[in-house]
Amino acid sequence: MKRTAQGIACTALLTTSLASGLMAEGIGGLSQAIDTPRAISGVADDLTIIFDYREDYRALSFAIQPSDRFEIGISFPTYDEGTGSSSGNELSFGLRFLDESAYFPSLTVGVVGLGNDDRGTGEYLLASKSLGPAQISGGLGWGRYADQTVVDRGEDDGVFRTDHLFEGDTEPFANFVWDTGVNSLIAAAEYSGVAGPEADDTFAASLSYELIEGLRVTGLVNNQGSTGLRLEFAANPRLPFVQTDIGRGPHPYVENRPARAGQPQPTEAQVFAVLTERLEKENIQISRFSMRGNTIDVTASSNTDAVFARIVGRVARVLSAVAPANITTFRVTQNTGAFDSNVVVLDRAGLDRAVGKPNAAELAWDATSFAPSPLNRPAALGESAFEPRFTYGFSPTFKADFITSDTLELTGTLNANARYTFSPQTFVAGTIGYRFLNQWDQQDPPAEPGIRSDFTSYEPDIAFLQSLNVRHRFQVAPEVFGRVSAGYFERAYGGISGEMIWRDPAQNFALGLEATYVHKRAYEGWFGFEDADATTLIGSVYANIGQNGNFVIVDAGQHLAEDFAVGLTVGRNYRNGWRIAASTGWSEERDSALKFGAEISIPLSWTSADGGTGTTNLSVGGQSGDFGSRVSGTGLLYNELRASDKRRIEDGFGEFWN
Amino acid sequence: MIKGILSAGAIMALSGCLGQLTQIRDAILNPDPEVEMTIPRVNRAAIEQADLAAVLMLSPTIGVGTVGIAIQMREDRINYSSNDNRGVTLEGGLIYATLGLGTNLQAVTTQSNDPLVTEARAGTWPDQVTRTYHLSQRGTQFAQTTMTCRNQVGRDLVIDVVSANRSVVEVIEMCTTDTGDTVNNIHYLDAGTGRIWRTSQWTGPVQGNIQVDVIDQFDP
Repeated sequence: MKRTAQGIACTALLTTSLASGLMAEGIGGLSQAIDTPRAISGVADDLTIIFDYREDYRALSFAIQPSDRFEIGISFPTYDEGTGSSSGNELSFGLRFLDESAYFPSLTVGVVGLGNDDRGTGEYLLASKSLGPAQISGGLGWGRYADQTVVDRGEDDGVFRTDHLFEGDTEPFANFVWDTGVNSLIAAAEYSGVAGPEADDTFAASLSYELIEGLRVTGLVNNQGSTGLRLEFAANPRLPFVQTDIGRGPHPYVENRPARAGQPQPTEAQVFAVLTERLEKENIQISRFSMRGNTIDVTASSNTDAVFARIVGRVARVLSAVAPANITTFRVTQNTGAFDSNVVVLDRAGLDRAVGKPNAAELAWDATSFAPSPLNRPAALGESAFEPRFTYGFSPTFKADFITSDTLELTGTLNANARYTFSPQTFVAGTIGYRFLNQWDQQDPPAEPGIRSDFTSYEPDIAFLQSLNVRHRFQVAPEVFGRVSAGYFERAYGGISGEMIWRDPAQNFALGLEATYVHKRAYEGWFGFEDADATTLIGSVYANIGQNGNFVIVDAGQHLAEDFAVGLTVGRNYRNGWRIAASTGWSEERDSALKFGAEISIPLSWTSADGGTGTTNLSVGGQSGDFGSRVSGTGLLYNELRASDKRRIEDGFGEFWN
Repeated sequence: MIKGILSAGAIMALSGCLGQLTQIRDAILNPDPEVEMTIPRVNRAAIEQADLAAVLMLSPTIGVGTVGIAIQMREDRINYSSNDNRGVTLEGGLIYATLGLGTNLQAVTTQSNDPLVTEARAGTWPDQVTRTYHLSQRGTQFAQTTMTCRNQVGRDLVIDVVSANRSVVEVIEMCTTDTGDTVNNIHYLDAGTGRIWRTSQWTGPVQGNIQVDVIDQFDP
């Protein structure tokens, strides 16, 4: 074991003031035993959210597995070092480059902590072998897995570097994880050559218990005087907790037959009546219906089914049975509330050829095309005049926050929301919030208002006006959508905002441009403004790439600090409504990447057989600094339109016949 | 002496097999009740009087039992559908597809001489049959699970199939998927014709086995 004189001196110097903050806690969300890594054992699309809680260390971590052998971790740790605190913002990667075989272990390489300003990175190489219900791993660590003191690795005056990776001293580690098979208990023990405040080597043990399916709590202890709890939620968007097809089945599909001479054909009103009645049983509503020439045009939606491909399939099934024989095309329009965003065009003869086949979804997709919705459409059956309405409600939000806290704190805010909707395109909405859990200590306002870093200058312990603005959406052309918004958009900014977005339903990308002029809102009171304004002009490319629901969003332009910045969001939309995304950015004012952010949406239908289109949203990180920051709450149009993306509908087409 | 030992050994081996078969059969037909099963009352007389081909479909994993009536024939496959559109598609005695009984089975492709499809009599079945199960996943292409099934003929017996006694032969299939998982199917074939009266077949990794009791056979 290597022990440098400097390391020993530092240990002697810092032992009294630092506890386990010296050691490498966790591994950035990647597969771990306790605080040392283990082999990736999940499957593609596995998602894990981990919250670590120790006296001097807290971390919220997200891990996703894009493939069976590759995982990405995003972690937000905070360290309380007695005399102060530090926080990180880390990106980590693990790759199992050799699979386990009957006689040989798997081999995994990982890099942890990229982007962390304070703790530096750690790298490891490990071998792992399964022995029945147990897994044993051993390997070598660099950086934070070898040095007991904080070593600045990977950052040099704000410039991100890589030449330190797998360089310098190493320390061994080993761990043993055993699934006891008793009451979902998993026991683990580990050894690390990294010293701590109380011993030259670190030994740790943990016991883990699955509270409910997917949710696990772990208690852990080590010989350096550190104890902690770990809460872990594991899920796979592709593998719901519930069976997916337990409700009413779809209407039987009936292939089209030429009408016999003299055979009466149903009228438009008759088809509409039968269609509406049968789909109502399947919780599908028809808000517009027309039958002209050889085409039936239907606008369909569901409050319970988030998979539009399945809604389209169910509409087609009923139409197949009731539409006259001369109808060759079914057009199913998707409506977002403000817009008719898509028309899914189905060739009836193609569906006839597809039904019942072993590749029925593929054949149905071949019979499908996409078209924009016309700007103006003639009156049709089922349409009704919009009634203005007032809605209100309360919604608590919980957030893991390290912007207003030195350590990662769980904050809770109760929001009272109200909205008056004048038309499908126009509404005014407001939110009053009160943070009831973990207020911040108010700081004196800076001499010059900041962009984001002055957030703690806002007044705590009061009900505050989070937002109050009016928003109008409109369609300029079949492929061009617009928005104007005005009012208080968020706690820190209010002003006016306009946006245009071009989106052809047949394409896999869209282009947007948002211009916003805002004033900084007053630190005290609800309606005032500080003497500071800003203009942003940000262009966006929204692209669906590769398979199904994978997407990339690139935003570029002038941001709030009048800096030119580029934002990058990558993620994956799933057919069942899951959405996972991670983001970062670059600003001309900074040489290194801005902070990372992550967001996850989990559909209610994934956890409950009763379904529903609602989601539980989790987000952490994202824009917190002054650079590369934009106004939120303006109502970006793509958030409404993305459910209509062709790739996203394609992703759900396996459900077309369900 | 040797003959006696061999006979005793054969009996012991056979009894061991039969014991295993009995366990498999009991496990399939009496699964651990994950959820309470509700089995509808069936008016056999009304079904027979109306000359309807009908089946009773049981999905143990979601506790649903429902009666389906033959409503369509497409490429020699019969669609049975209930009032709430739950249903199975049968190709001979093979469960080709399911709807609304758990996690839908989209299709099953099999070899041309699959005895479930041809409804071959017990004893004439090929040693093994390979079938591919198609289930929906992300995107337009279905996920596929291929399994190979060996079969073993069990007892001749009389069973009650929805209030009618049927003389049947028991056939148990022991199947292994391409990922190494093992599942079992159990079939009760008409002793004379080989047609299925009751069958419990694996239909997917989540939905598990679906049981179909034939109330009245489809006779075109």
